[in-house]
Amino acid sequence: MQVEEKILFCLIVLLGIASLASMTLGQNEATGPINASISQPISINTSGNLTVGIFFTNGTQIGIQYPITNVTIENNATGNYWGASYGTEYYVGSSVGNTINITIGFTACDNLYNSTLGAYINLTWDTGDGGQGAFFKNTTASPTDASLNLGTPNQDYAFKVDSWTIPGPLVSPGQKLYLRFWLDPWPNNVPSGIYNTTYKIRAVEYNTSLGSAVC
Amino acid sequence: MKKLAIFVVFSLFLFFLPFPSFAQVGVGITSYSIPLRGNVGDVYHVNFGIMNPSSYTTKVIVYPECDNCINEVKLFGFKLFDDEEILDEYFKLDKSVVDVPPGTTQQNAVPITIRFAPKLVIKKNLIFYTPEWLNFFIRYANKGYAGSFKIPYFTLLIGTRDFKGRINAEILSYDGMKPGVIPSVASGLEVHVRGMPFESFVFLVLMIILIIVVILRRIGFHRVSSSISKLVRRKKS
Repeated sequence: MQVEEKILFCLIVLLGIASLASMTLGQNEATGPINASISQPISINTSGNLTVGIFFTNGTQIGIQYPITNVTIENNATGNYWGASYGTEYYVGSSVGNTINITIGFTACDNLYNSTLGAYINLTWDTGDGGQGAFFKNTTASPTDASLNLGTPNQDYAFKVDSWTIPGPLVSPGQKLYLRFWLDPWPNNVPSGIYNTTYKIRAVEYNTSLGSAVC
Repeated sequence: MKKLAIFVVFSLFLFFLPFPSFAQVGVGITSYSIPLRGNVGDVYHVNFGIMNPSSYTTKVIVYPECDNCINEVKLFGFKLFDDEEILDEYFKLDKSVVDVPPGTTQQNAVPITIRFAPKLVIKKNLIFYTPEWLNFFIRYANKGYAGSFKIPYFTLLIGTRDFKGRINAEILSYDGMKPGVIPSVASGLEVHVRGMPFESFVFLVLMIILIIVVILRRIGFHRVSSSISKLVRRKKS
């Protein structure tokens, strides 16, 4: 027997003994009759009017969608003041069964697009008209509270595309995040037509990453 | 007069109608955090459920998402390509799309099983990005070309791997209708896998070398070299 063969033989024997020993030791383990099942859910619900979609209407109209004729002002979404006492019909609720606080974010998958015309209405911030694009306002206080300074809308409340906006940084179990939306379309010379896109809402454990916003 | 009365009654009916409103739509996961920890060769299952706090039947897509699965490979600060880990090599979900009945709570949530079974030999991808001037020519032949291509390769799982990400549950439709705004929830995902230790890898390599040396000694180096040269000659002729 050569030296290499002896070494190899010793190593194989050593590995065999080690695996046999661990198998024998493993047989001494026993499982005890004790266990616990823990459930810590995360759940949200969106209001019916928000789930159906955000329909921007002309000026301050509520309830019904009309074509936008003034592209230099912040036009309402139909559900902004359509609730009781002119409250908003848009909300995202953290379910009562949740045991943790959550963070709620939303993103638009793209700008508003008309495939026939191949034309876009931008949702993102622009300085024209004293601030234009699509805007939101958020509150957890009451459906009537979300108000935006429509004359000079703040850039912080502008929509983002493929990037999360966080209207609900901290929402407690059972709490509702009320939202209102406005659109000051740009460019102002956009052709007549129906424009749309997809919009996504995500809830995660409080203060954790919302992940990729790409749709 | 009659027409006026009908008009007044109809107006009053419209006036007293409640605010038009649709029922809310929701989605949930029974666990806000899902940790997966284990060694190569371990096989175990983790269950979680999809909830539906709304009054519609919802179709929900469930998928994992990784934050740190793509790493840049650089040479002297210049990015050569991306190296992508494939989560399927570590764990798999048994379903990706589920129908969730209305009013589904934690107790009767639609179950999804994660089969955690990390392998010793794992598949990974190299992602190469082509420059825009080249993309023009490629798109001439392939309109859908996204500007990058992947080359899969196999490697040993040496050392440990830590992944952070999420398991997302996203509503595809409710009562067959596509939502205008897509609600989704995400459960935090943490994966810690212990592969083969580096020392074991060195040991394995030494063992293989030793085995080869022993075989060569037994057969004889001369025999092996002559059989190789015969094979080469045969191929040439």
